[in-house]
Amino acid sequence: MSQQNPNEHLAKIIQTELQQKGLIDNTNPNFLQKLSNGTMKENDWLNALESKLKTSNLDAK
Amino acid sequence: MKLKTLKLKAFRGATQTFSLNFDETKNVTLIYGENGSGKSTISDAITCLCTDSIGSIKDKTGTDSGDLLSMGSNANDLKIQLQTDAGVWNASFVSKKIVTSPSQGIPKLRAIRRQHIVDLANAAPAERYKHLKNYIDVDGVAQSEDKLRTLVKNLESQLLIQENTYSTAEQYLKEAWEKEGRPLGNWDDWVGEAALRDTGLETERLQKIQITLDYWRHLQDATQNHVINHRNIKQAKEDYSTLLARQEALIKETPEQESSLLVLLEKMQQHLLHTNNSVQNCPICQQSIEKSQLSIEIGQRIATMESLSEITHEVENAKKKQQIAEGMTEQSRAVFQQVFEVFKESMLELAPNYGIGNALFPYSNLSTAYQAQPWPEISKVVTQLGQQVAQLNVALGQHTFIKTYWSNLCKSYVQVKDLKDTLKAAKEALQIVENARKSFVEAELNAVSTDVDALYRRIHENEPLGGISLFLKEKMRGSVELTAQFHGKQVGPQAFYSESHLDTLAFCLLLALTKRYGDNTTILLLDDVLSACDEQHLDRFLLLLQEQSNHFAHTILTTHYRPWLKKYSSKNSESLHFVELTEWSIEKGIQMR
Repeated sequence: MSQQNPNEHLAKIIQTELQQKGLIDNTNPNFLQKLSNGTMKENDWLNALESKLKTSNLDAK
Repeated sequence: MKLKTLKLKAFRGATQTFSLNFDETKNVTLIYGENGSGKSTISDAITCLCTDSIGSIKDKTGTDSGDLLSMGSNANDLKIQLQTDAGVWNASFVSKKIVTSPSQGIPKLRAIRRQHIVDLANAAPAERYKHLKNYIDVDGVAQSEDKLRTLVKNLESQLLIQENTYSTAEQYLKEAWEKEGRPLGNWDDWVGEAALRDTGLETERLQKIQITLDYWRHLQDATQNHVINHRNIKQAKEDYSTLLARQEALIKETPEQESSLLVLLEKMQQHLLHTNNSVQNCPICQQSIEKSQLSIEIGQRIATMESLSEITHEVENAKKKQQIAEGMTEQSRAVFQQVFEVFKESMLELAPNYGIGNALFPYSNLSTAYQAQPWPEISKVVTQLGQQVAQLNVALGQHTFIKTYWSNLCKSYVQVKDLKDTLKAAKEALQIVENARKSFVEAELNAVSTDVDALYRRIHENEPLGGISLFLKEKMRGSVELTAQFHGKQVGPQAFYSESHLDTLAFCLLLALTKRYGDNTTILLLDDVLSACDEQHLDRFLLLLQEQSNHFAHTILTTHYRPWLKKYSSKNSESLHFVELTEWSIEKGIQMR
């Protein structure tokens, strides 16, 4: 099997697993691209994780 | 993608226009030529057109992009053209670099040079990882992973700070609760209640008392000032009376020394001093006078009246001092009155809380009030007010202390909770990213290992070698181990394999990687990769290339290895297109047989 872009392929695997574990949601369109090309900053991670935590807390209420 | 034609003009050795027509029925082109015949020109041209690299000359010191031009050519003359069944791409020399047009869909190139193989064959695990990174490129994800790792560390630091803030606030508030005698049974109930207590009235009362005490201090100053002025005017009056009595006694003792006469003589002396010399008659009696003689006589008479003169001046000064003292006393009396009334008003405002009433000010007028100083009853109340201020300051200070630390406690409690949640999520995410990256690279290495092993066995059939295994070094990031079989044992091949076996192993690894990360738009360029190979292995090597060539758009192999000339110059195999370059010259450029 040919792996044209390992970064993109791996980023997709990671995004899927993070979503399945309920750590991030799928509302951030730039997440995959940033994760893949190495431009994710600390704040991007923080925003992605906190956004999901807030949603989960609201759902719990 | 099928390659059709490569055309070169004014590029390196192509001093004349050179065209290479690919055999579209064959997937592999073998370009043979002696050293200096133009092989590198062809491989560099493809490299420049397909990538940002300037090909083999980048590895040579003292060279730059200007050396891409043929001798005596202008930058505008340079042209590289690659025709394929998917399109035509032209490269030209613009601003000291090669620019390919159109910029979309350019064929991908994987160029493997002899040096790559030697470097990879001898590389330590960390260096080997760097070679493989050109293919299994997960650097982007690894960089994002690093940022997540930094986030985890920062969250841990923030959590520690907030936990310390919480502990400090808790400790201080517990101590305050203990000091108060443990009210309400537990510290947090007491703190919550104390922090929420409304201190508006206390603050207002404190301000009012402080203002009243300020007025009290002003009143004392004003009283003191008025006492001094009162004393001064009394003294001034006494001084004036004394001097006036002395003046009268002096006049009585010497009746001729009337003060009015003295005044008259002094005025006459001044008159004569300021009039001109032509005066000949007395201005009063009109009798004839001698001015200079008269001035001398008047001076002598004034001198005899010196005592009267001095006392007269002293009386005038004493009178002036008395007038000044009267003015100042009047002024200080007005200030005293104003401050006394303001103080009284301020004191009576406090009446409801401190039992202060009009009884404290039983003075019918200002004079009686002044006479009653230092007001012992009022002083007593003022002392009580001072004590009240101290108590209120302690109570309000404690309230501020409790409120501040209660606020810190509440905020840090929320932040600790939030940080713990975020940190837990960040750690889980980091674990997922790290595991996924490692698993991905391991899986890729595993897949590549399997293919490398198959490719290697193809070249070294029936040899006790193979069993190639690539894997990430335990607990080491960016490090790849390589093991292989040697007579049934799994060993590090660098210590056991011959140089040519290591070369073919490194080549198979690069070929497997190119297969995995390339496709049918990828050109595989093998630039003089094998130089020392016996005939048997040479055949297998070329056979392998032909077998694998369907994974790529085209495979181009350049060599100066003479046995290949003998073997292929006379016959073309089914999938191999043989091209022989003859002697290069500056006049003719690159020549094909």
